[in-house]
Amino acid sequence: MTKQYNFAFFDEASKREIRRAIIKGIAVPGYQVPFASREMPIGRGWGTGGLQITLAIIGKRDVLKVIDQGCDESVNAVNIKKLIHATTDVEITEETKRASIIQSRHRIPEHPLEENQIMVLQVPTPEPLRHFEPREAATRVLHAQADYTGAWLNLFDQIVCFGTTTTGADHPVKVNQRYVMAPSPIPRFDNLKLHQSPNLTLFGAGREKKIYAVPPYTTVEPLDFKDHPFAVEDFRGKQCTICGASGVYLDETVDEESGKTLYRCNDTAFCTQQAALKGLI
Amino acid sequence: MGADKELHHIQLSFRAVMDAMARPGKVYNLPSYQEKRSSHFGLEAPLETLVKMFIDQAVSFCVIASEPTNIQNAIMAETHARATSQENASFVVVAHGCEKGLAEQAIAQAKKGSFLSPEAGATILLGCERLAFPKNRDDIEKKDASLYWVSVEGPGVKDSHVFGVDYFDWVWARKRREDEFPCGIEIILVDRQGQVVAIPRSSFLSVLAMEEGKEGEGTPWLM
Amino acid sequence: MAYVAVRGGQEAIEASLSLLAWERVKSGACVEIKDIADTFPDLIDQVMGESSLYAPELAALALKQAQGSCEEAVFLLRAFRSTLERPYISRAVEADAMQCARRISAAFKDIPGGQILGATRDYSHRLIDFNLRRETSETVRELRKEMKHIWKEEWEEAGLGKEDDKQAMGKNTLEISESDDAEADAETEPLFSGERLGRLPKVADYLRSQGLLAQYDSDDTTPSDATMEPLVFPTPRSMRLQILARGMTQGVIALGYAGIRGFGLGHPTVAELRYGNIEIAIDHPLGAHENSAEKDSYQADKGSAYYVGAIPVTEVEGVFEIEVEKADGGKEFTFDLGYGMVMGHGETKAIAMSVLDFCLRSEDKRFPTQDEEFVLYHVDGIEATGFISHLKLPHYVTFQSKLSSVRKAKDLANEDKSHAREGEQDDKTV
Repeated sequence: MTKQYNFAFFDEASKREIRRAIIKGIAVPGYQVPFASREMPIGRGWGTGGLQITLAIIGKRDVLKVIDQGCDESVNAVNIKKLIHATTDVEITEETKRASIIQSRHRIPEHPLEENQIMVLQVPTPEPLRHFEPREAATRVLHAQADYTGAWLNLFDQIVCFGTTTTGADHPVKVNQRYVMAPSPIPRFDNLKLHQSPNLTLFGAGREKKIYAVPPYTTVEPLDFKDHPFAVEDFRGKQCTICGASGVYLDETVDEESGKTLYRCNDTAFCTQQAALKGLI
Repeated sequence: MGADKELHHIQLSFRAVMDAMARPGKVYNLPSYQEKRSSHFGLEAPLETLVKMFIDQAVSFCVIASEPTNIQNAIMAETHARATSQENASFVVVAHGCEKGLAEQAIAQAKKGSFLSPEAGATILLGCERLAFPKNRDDIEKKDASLYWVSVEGPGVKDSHVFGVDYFDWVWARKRREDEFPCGIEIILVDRQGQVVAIPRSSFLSVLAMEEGKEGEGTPWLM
Repeated sequence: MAYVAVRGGQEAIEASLSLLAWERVKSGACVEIKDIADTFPDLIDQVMGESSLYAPELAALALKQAQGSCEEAVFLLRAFRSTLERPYISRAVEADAMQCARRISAAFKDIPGGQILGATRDYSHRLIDFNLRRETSETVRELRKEMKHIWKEEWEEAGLGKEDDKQAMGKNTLEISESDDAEADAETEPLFSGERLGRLPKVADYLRSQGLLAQYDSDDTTPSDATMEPLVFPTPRSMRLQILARGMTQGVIALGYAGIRGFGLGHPTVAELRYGNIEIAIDHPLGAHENSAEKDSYQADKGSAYYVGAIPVTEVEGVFEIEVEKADGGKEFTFDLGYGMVMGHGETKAIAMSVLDFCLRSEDKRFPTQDEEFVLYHVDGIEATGFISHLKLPHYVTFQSKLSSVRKAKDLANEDKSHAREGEQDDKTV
């Protein structure tokens, strides 16, 4: 490359803009801080929000882990890692507990995070009220007034129609008893990991130009009803065919020969580690 | 300092400030500069680091100091930021050694943002003489006239965080604002040695003090 | 197995990139950056406009790297732009000082300063010119020389052609020199020698002087920059115009079309469309700092500015009929303007932009073209293509989660059914 790019790609003014938004995001947990999202060398909607946060906070001493859908080797995770590595030269790891920054799309790792780790989640749609209100100006007013009737009605509606809430990933949560927040499309299984977690979690939505945060030790409650309590994805009686783990988020696959449904850990780094511990690999 | 070196210095400093904001009341250290040098803004080096971390052409700022004009002009010339009044500034820089009354006034008048845009609430970069992290309970109970202990609760704090600071009038000034969350201000305290403590608007503060004459056995009480 | 598709990403990406590199070189042919810039100026303009970065050489380079994909070239330039510091803001450009290569009005036949048709495809026949198949650099140079000679003769016949009377008719100054070197004079010459044409009055000013345009106070607020400030609704007009100007050319045209076809506020008349060079100047960087009150320093330092260059732009002022309330409560018809300006030569986009500018300023929001969130969020090429193409990414986790919900709902429904059946049987037995 003849043109040398800056450390962590951005010019310093861009980093300042993102850093300012991060600080305000931490100060007002769950509130979506608008920021002047920069254009990135990867596609909008492909993790540019998370990438902007990572590039704005990362330094030479960091150890980075990037996962996409639970997997370190997924094409998009590899692509993001390549860009960060090319512009910072930081150490890359797959081991969750060694990472100081973990950027992820749609998963929080199975291995519990610690105080000195930062979780960066890529967010496609940061607005939890977007389902029923397409206008940004209107949803901002709803947040300002803490008017979350619509969000509750939405869930209530699902219960009336289907007997259960039908949210998949991205089940809305209430943060610090104030803001209703989209936790990004992490499965409901991961929602509970946000509550009173020892680590800081940062959320970046590049295309929608929002940054928000859940500080450590902060109350995060999934929206639910007393008679219809929040329920995570049901993997009862199922376990990983590779490492034998249960109580983790599983991917469903089909064995081509027998046609049987098989399950595997979605978090591949965790699976590999478990399998190694058990002497399976 | 070369641009590249400064870039890494600012990055490490930002991480200290970000960690401080995520864990209000915990004392963090800005990385120290290798070479000693005088600040060309006329601020203490750690405060200058905070200015360079946050302030540029996209934001407005205000300097509170006994002689603010030169500092303000120097910051404008280097960062292209807009200088404005303390009521309108996104960043209020309170210089070390500034008259306490001025600092309190700055905290009282800083903008709080709105329910629609709480992020418009100001950030105060507040220079103070000394910050301290209590190693144990004895530290807090030990009589030290030059330190007040402040206890912090709220998001980012598991039970409570306690830190020592050389003066606490800013705590009252903050309390008297009576901002209704999510409106409010952030305060980033920085001492001359480069230690930082951040107080986001979501934090609840109380000043711990010892009753006179009950040294050693007294219990902290809330002021 | 489906799962394997996302693993081994490293090798898959490397192989894919090699294939991509192969696609670019497999024909064995190479085109010079300069040739791209010289032969596809309109494409270069479109890429620069959508990237909001004036850099013809880089745009050509991006197009070469992108193998001619406009979408991809814009992507490359936008990402590069993100890494640049932007310490200065230029003075407001004044389009009435434009050195026009083209200037037309659909509202009046005779406009002060006259219409300048310039180079346009508007009245050309869209027939493929099969002769171009045989064109070579030599024949192009020959043709160029020939055209110059013909014009020179025509000018001399008309008593023109003296040094101070040179008037360009194309994009470059027509140099009547015998040293015919295409490389030498296609460089960075200004569109016109300039002095001769001077300022052309704006058609809108004429309408304004006649009291036919809605009156507004001049607004000198510093424009908002969507690339430097968060996008918050309602947006200031300056930010709307910026987003439209850097919007996807075809996206802006499609929405502008919807605006005049029926999903908008009607049919404008192009008061004026002009294309040409405008000069860019910045204030003395230190001068502006002496004074904290921005406006004052601007005034005080008006004398000291730096000329940094000129860029080609297309500007459109479209006239729309509006109803206004009179002081006595009655209503009357008058005109208002929709404004469009795009980098380079982009007439259709500039007109569509003026339509959308007008639609977005309207109070009533009957049509989607009047809804700023609808228009502004969706005309940006990088955002639209990015989010559309992200659908190609794996969504296994989210889909698994959805699967779990759907199964649960189905199970509940089946339970209900069987309960209901039991209930029916119970009824019968009673």
